[in-house]
Amino acid sequence: MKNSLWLVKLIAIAFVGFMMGYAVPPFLEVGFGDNVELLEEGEALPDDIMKQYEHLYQDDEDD
Amino acid sequence: MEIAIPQKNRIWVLVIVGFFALISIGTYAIHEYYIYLSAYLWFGFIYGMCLQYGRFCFASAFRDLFAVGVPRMVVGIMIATLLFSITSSLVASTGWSTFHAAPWSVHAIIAGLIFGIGMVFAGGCASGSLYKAGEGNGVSMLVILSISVTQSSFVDLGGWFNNLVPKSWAESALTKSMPSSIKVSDGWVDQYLAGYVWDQPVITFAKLLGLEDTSLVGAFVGNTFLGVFLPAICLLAIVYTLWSRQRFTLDFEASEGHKPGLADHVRGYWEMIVSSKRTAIAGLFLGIACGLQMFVIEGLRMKFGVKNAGTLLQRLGHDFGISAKGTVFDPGYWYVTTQEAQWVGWVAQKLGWNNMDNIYFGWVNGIPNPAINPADWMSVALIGGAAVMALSNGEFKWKAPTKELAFWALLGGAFMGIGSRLALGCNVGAFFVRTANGDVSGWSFGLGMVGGAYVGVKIFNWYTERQMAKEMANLDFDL
Repeated sequence: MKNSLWLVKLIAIAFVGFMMGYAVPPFLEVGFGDNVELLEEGEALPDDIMKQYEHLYQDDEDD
Repeated sequence: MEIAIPQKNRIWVLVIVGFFALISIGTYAIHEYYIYLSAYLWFGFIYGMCLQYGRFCFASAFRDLFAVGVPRMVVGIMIATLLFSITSSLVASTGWSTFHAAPWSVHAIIAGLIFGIGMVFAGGCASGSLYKAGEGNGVSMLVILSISVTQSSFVDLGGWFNNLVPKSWAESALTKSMPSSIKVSDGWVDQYLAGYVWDQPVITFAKLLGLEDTSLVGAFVGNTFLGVFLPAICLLAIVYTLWSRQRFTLDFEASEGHKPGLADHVRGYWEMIVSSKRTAIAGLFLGIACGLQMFVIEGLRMKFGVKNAGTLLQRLGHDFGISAKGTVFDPGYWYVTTQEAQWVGWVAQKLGWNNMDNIYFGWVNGIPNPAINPADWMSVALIGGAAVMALSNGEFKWKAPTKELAFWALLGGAFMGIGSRLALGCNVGAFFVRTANGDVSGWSFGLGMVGGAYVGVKIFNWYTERQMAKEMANLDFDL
């Protein structure tokens, strides 16, 4: 049973390690401190998605 | 003596882990964005394993302390908080923390009080109920159900309950810019949030010293040393004086033949700390995992160019239940209660109850489908992680609740649901995470929670003694 628990731990560490692989490069690009704005902009939202929510920001009087 | 673990346990362990691995790999194959949800899943899984291993339950901790004078788990929780604060400060000083401090006022103490009473009634705190559900405990499953339903209903209370809203809250709430879809003047919690809580100051120990939370000195000196280390040392000293000192003195006198001096008591204090080894080890790994989760989630946000999972869900075409500002609940760290409210909120919405007109769901957290809700992935995986640990150690057992325990589970869960919504978090989100990150409101909630646990233990003892007296009176003795 101890072997399967080690296997479980290894699987969990492998997945977390894989995700760390995603997180570390942006961190290396930015470095320590509050330099997040130095990162390149991500993919912009398609216009049609934001249009679906436009009505939610309008006042009743405008409807 | 080693317990023989049945072969079927091994199979179930592999089935559970295989299921989560399959979900992660399968969704990743569909789209890379799903790795964001998998990050929640695997950290939740690790939390579950740690919680079950360390028996990390706030309700058990304070019940043991107040009812039978055993401080072991309270000490373990304090150590875990301390260890988590170190990893939190490490992440915060890189400028990559996902943590946001909460507004601070007396509401945190009151909410903690209600929550503390509830967790003693229920026999498990919010996180404790999750890991106990993973052990097959039916009472804990009822507690989770009760917390979920209570929260979801509580945040949408309107109508007559609007009469209980102070005028100043109602007026202040109306000044907040809300879209027309949010009916801010109809709902007790809406006006409590927008008219009261949001007006309160946000304070961290670093800021009290005039330092930034993201600076190395602010994070370690302000938030960890002043905000956690010093209070923890003092609290542990109080615990030692009130609950451990007497036993240590008796043992010392029996072995040494004289009264212990100050140096001996320091040794006794240290012995009390190291006696909570199992909870402390769990705390160490919880602390590392919590810090890593903040780092990974922030990294993924940077990678995908988003600030909230709502944007990712929209890009993936899952736009049902996204809040009016395009967000879903995505704390970026360990959290328990909001996702529980969300799944009931989602079900209720599907059944025709409009939950999207209140601030909690409609403006802040949304009610996405639980199948693609990041925080729900974390909670489900937490239960799975606890189940894996329990199965591996031969501690898994289905336990059906009795009628009496079911009553206490539902009542306690309701108290915890209300308390956690008033505090904007539970023993994890409002105490453990906030305290470790130097948020003053974390200690306020903790203070209320300890007071509530004390009241809860007293009420529970009174009830139990009354029941026993009744049963004894009904017994006929043939002498």
